[in-house]
Amino acid sequence: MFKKYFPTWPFYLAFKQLFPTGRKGSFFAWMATCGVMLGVMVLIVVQCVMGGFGAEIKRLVVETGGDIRVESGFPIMERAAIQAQLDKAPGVVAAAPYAQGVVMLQCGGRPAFPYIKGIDVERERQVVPLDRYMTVGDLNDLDEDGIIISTQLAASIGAILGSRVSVYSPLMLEKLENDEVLLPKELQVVGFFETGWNQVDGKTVLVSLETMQSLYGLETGIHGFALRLKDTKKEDATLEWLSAHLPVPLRAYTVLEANHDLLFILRLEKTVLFFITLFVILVAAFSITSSLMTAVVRKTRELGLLCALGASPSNAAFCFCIQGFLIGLVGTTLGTLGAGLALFFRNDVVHAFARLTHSEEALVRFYQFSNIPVEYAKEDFLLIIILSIYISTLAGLLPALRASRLKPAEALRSEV
Amino acid sequence: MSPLLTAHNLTKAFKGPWGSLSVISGVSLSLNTGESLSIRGESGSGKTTLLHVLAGLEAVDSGELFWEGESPLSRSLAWQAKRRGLFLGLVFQSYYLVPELNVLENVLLAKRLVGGLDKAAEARAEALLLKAGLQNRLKHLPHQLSGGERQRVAIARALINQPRLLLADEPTGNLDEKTAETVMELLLNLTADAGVGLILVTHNPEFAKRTQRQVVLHKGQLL
Ligand SMILES: Nc1ncnc2c1ncn2[C@@H]1O[C@H](COP(=O)(O)OP(=O)(O)O)[C@@H](O)[C@H]1O
Ligand SMILES: [Mg+2]
Repeated sequence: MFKKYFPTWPFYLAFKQLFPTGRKGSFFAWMATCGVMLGVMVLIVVQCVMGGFGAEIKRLVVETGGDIRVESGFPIMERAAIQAQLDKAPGVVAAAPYAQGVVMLQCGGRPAFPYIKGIDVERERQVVPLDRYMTVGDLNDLDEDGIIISTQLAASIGAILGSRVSVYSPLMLEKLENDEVLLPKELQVVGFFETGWNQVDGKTVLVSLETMQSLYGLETGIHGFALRLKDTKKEDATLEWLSAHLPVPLRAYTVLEANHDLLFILRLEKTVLFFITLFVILVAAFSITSSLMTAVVRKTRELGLLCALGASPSNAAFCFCIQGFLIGLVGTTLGTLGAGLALFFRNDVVHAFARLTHSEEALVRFYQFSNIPVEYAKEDFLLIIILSIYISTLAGLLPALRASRLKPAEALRSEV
Repeated sequence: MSPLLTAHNLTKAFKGPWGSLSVISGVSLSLNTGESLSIRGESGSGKTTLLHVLAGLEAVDSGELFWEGESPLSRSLAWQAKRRGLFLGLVFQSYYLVPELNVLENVLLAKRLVGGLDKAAEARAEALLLKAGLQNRLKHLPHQLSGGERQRVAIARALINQPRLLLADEPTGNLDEKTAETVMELLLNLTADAGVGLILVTHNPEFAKRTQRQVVLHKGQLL
């Protein structure tokens, strides 16, 4: 049945035309295959790396910010009561209170405007792997006069362990308007930390919750809680419980939700890059089409011959579609393997390139990570593979259509 | 029993912006199983067109055609193609071998096209090529062969499917006298041995005499 409608000889002939007996393949076949291969390779590498960036940022967002946040938009004064409630919420491993804002920081005349976070060290370490982030100093030394600075910020303001920094808060401006003068807070650097995420490492300082409360005039108030869950897959149940049990102005939402814009942009970038790099394959497809088109003209008499030997014109034409398909298949296979290789050695390649151009530091600064993250997503691979084979096959369709319109007798008489 | 091939009152004109050019006008002929017929005629008299029409490769304007009693003109293109592959073999003036395939593959291609390529077919192909004196050239590509050798491959290819009829269009037209003689010898012997009907278009009166019947085509009409 299958054989009746799909004779196997067009596959044979297509294969032989691409890889003639006694030769290592036609020049056209290899060039076209290379085109598809490059396209597939670029697509896969770009998609995997973009996916990797996305996944890495997602991971860092969650790791540095907790799974769920509870906030109300106003300072929360009933901290103990809510803390007790959060501690018994289902699926919650730990809940850490925080107060956050922006301050001006000065160290030896060099200013910075970091993001400041007041934390309860004991609780915070259960939510965020702070101890792992510490590069110098000890988290336990963070008292009311202490401050922990991210490494990059420290480098930019020249702070070292034990340096004294002055912290100016917005509260001082408020007081100034009432003709009161509040002196900046003098804090001592007790440690440095690094999360590996440039967004945080570039401009964050940590102080004790009490210090932050006095800087911002919160008294005993806090801004919210960061929650760590046992299993993020069950976050919906936790969120539901929280919204049912927390007092009214408080709202619980996932950290990923809060960073929705950032993640959306990353996804968008990935999609846009997909379409841009898809053009590499399209260009390859055009070259397949034009080469096969010349082949149709070159092989006009051969097409006539096939008809004389008992092929129907449409079967003879089918040959060209198959050639496109075979080129796509081989190109895609090689491209996938090539991409795998390139991704496997990605860090060596990038580091070698960076060393060559003395740009290692810039690389880290602008691209957030020193190692290139990748995410091997099955759907990405499948989509790219199917699409590129599909496009290559389509590339053979136009020449095939043309071939199928040839009249056998005219084809046999053709001069070319 | 119906004859191998019957054509009745075939007419064919080529039409185009330049008008209508009548090429075949009222040709009738009949060929019995195993019979051989030669067609002579000046260049442009319509010999090639007639062969194409008889092979079902060219549509006719009017007239009837029967292959062993069946009318291909009333059937689908796919049916015609399939039947053509099994019923008849074609040999052309300029060989038409597939350049990407070696000698053996070229012969077997005809078998592939109609289906049923097997060891027996391969053995038959090798036997045919042996008769054609090409047993040492099986793996050669067409461009490595002389014109006479290529035509012998083409004859083997035309016979691989054990057709009932062979149509040869000036098979020796591109060959020198001596080579032409060997090729014609092969063609006539193989068809005669296998009882295959033959319609041979040729310019050479010597060759024409070797068939059982001879006709002349003049301005699209059989004399
Ligand atoms: N496709 C075509 N369009 C117009 N005229 C054609 C076409 N094919 C053949 N002819 C004309 O038909 C006539 C017969 O051609 P052909 O059968 O090749 O003759 P022969 O084989 O006897 O030399 C010639 O005059 C040729 O110019
Ligand atoms: Mg002719």
